[in-house]
Amino acid sequence: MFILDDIILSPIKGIFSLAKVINDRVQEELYNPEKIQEDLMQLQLKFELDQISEEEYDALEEDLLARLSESKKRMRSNPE
Amino acid sequence: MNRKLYLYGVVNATEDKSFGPIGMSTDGPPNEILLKTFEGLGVVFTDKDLGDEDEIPATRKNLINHQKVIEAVMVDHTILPFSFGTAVDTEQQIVDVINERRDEFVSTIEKIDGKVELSLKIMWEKMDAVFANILEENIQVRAKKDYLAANNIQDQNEKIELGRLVEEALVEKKEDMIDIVIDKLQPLALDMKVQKNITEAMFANVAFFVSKSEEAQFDQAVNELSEHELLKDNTIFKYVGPIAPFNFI
Repeated sequence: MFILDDIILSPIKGIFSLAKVINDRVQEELYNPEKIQEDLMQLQLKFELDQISEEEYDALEEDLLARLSESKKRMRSNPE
Repeated sequence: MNRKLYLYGVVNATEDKSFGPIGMSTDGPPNEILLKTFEGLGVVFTDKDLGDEDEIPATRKNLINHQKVIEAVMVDHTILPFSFGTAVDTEQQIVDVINERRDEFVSTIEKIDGKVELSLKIMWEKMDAVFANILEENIQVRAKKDYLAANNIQDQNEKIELGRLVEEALVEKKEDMIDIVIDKLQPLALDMKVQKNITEAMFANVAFFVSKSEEAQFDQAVNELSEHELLKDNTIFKYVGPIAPFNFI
């Protein structure tokens, strides 16, 4: 019986764990402070080269800074 | 009230003074910038109410203001600049930091006295032109491309291989370009820091530590560089300075 359970459940477990791995990677990328800093520098450069408007800049900057602040909080609550 | 003493840097000074209301103005009038001295060393700071925030957000506007305040201080002082976001809670903490690290502050100020940082970023304006040039001039890339075209090869792996060759050629091209920049400017600098290229189009991102007495010559050299045969077309120069030598302390 447990063999059957395994067969029935394993692909689902597989999918779940895969989804978790992907989600972890995405979270890592999204809240990696170095990556965010680099994105900020790229964004500033775009603005300085007139490739985006000030409104666009401000909106994107706000999003990046919010993530940066969140990433610092995560590091404080979960230091490695 | 969520009061913080926001710090800009340490200077050689014997008298307290105010630089006036030239600080950040996120929530009302600009903050007043003060210099408070402790036996020959002074701290440039402002008294800021952060309200609900944990910290001052590192927005472009705030970063520019941080830089502007430091520039204003640089007119009359040599400042050991602090990076954006350095803050303490009480004046006693300032006194403690000064006392603990006095020797280090004094020797660093001595080291940067009479010197400035100049930052140069150079990037290509249009990458299409750069890739076209690689396809035309790089022997390996051209051979591969011609071979694929002549035999009408549509194989995905072959195309990936061509892409890889182009990528390699781009890295080489960037190295050639930065060598030209460094050969020209390094002799005029006391020190330099080659930093990461932050975009695909960027091939030089360098901070130079330069004597004030060499600054005019350095400017001239950057000008000449922008006329260099391989640098005069399809490039954007972002030359910024003089700023406080953040990268050399």
